[in-house]
Amino acid sequence: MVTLVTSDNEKFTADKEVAERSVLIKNMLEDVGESDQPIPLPNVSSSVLKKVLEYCEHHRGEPLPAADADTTQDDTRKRTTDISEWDQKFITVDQEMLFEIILAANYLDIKSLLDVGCKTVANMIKGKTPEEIRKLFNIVNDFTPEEEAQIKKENEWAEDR
Amino acid sequence: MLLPGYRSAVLRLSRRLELLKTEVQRVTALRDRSAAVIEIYRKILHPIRHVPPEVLLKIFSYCTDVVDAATPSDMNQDSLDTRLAPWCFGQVCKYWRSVVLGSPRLWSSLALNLSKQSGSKSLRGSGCTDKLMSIGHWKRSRLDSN
Repeated sequence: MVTLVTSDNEKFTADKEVAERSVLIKNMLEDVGESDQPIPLPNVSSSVLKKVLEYCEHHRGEPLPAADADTTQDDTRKRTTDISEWDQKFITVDQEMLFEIILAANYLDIKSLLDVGCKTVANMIKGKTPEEIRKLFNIVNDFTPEEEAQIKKENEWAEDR
Repeated sequence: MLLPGYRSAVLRLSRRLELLKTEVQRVTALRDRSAAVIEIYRKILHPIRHVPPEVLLKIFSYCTDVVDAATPSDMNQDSLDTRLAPWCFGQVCKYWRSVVLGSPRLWSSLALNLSKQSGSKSLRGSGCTDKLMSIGHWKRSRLDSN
């Protein structure tokens, strides 16, 4: 078993096999060797780690994707944004938690979880206008008038074709 | 109670109602100001602001990856349409624009919907029925990596 300590100082215990779905934790465990020392995760809160461990537990035993899977993928084939049924249900969380999971998956280096999060956001923004995306994620339009003019010019060029 | 008594009661209650209306207006304004502050903080603290460029790029890539002409759902894709990805992502905010314009990967393949182009009449005349063309440099990348 492995003990993980979150940013809000909560301790979690998990099977080594489950925790090692995180490349970061796997590397840490290899570095510390045979030790009962808890692994600190200062960038992950307890509510997010609980979700991450739920994901790792469900996918335990599945082969881990290659580190360079993105670059070796056949680029001529369009990558799918389809998500499996269980993952879909798992990632149906509020927007804040969705991005917290993405940030945690990136930090912990859990590629498959990062993919699920990114695909979910991609599906949310696909086909939306910039204004709709801003509204969806509370993003501030911080363009200067000059940049706005440049964007307008880009759009006019496309309309004139 | 006699009529004069009722009149003075109505006057008294009207004054009280006026005071209550003023108080409602004051509290409503206070609530609206607090709600506006919450809205500002929600924007500032939204976790999307902490998403690093490489993750944002990954998200964008899922919306823009290479067109497969054999997939009917891709037939409406047109890389020159600024209302579509990746152009529209570069029109959201400065940060997204810097990621979009700084990522050659998003622009490494183009899908041209020839039915929208000015030369489409000639193409129709030629009997050409396929109006989706893809251009990309992915094959060269693969050769480079060998």
